[in-house]
Amino acid sequence: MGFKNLKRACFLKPSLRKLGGLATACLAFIVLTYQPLWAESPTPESTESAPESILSFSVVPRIPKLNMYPCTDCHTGDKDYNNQERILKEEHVEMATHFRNGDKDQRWCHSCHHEKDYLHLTAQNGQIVTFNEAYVVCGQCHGTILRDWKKNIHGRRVGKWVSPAEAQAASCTECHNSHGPKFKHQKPLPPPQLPRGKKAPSQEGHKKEH
Amino acid sequence: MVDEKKESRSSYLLERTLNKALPRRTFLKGLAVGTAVATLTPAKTAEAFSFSDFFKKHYKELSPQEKTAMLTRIEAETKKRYGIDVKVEDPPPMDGVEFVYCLNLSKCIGCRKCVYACVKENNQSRDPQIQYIKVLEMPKGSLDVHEGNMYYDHEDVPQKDKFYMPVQCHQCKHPPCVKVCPVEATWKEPDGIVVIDYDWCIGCRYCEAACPYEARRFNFTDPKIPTEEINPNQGYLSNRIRPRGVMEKCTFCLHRTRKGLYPACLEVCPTGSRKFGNILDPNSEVRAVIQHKRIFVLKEELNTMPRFLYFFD
Repeated sequence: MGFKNLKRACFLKPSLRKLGGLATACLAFIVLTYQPLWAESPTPESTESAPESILSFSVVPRIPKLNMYPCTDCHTGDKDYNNQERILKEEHVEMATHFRNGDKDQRWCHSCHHEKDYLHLTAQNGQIVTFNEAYVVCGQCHGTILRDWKKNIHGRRVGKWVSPAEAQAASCTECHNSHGPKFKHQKPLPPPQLPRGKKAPSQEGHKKEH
Repeated sequence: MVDEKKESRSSYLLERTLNKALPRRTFLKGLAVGTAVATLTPAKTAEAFSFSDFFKKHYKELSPQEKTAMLTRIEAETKKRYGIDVKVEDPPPMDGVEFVYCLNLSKCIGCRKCVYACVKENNQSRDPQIQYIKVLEMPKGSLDVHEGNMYYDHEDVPQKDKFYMPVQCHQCKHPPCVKVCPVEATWKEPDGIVVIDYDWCIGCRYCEAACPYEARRFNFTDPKIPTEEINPNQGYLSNRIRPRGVMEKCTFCLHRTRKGLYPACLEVCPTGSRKFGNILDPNSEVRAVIQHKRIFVLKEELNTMPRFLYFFD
């Protein structure tokens, strides 16, 4: 019965008016409190996008730049998932810098990488994050740096200075090697020419003469 | 007899000239042209100066039409001289914007990437070498610039017990260089950048002596830049190719920053030590740095009020 018919029915039969009012109230209640069924059970996708949404700026996507991604290129079947904590000797040996490889008291691969799903990282609270949001994982220990990064004091921005909307933040792993985050020493570019007749100071630098 | 005739003739001519009402304007024009010819011809520098260039007004008095004509002229001159097409613009300062630069001394590793990015962006002379940024290697525990060494050449940086302090133009709020300029060829723009009009500069180098940060450079010769390395996006007050005998210095890349881009030195920095933005915007990164970090002002006691600040983590 349409709303118009219901109204007409109520008009025609005053005894039904009470019932019609109740029906309208029920309808309004259902409309106001209606939620789709899938709102009750969030999918992994909605968990992943959660950290991004709390930031006031966007982050440079990291996944397109990864060399060995997706991991499923090599890890194809169940037999390729050996999650036993051990010292790695054949593969990923060079990545053992940031954690003590095989030391039980320290971090190892699955402190950050998800145990079952190699395409994702995992935080200590079980939150699943993509490689684009590595800052969630790094920030668990490096909290003060994450705080500075969110304020745009630490790290780099790509784009324009005009507003946060026109710039993208470089994620931690854009500059730092995630498996050895300390900056590597590097050869500096050549020093400036000495003015004619000036002798180069010693590499120890100037000493105060008084 | 003949002499007498001559004398009377010349006196007659003189008298006639003096009595003739020669308009003052015409006289001055003739004088100006005469002076110009006298100045230009013997030195054979006629190609370096055009007539309109020589008699142009001060930058601040130019009308928009005159400015456009001037920029077109510079483009044509660059084409004639270096054989490449360049675009010379003069972006105006943005409203409600004052630039501030912050540099993290705890992060800088002294790799000198900023120095060479700046040279390339700003069309600085490669030989003789002109560089706006000096990276000082300093012993830890001191902020005395006299102990710094800008000629360090190690196999790798950062060195142990050393920190690195890049110094460039501080864009002072009270700029000593502007105060000493005898011809007003350098001035402070509304967005805080101290600029030089290379066409107005007479090359007296007073500003170089006045600057406490050693930020100003002098073109002793015509700048030598490989043609393929010339940056074609040029600004009148910033990175257009300078003539010989004028001063130049860092302008926070105003041809970029006035369009919203970051300066070249910031974009190339691998450590993210450099922070740039609008101090008047409460959400800007420089505002965050000033609110949350310890700031060091180089030579604060001189009351130059620099817009270039150092900070520590």
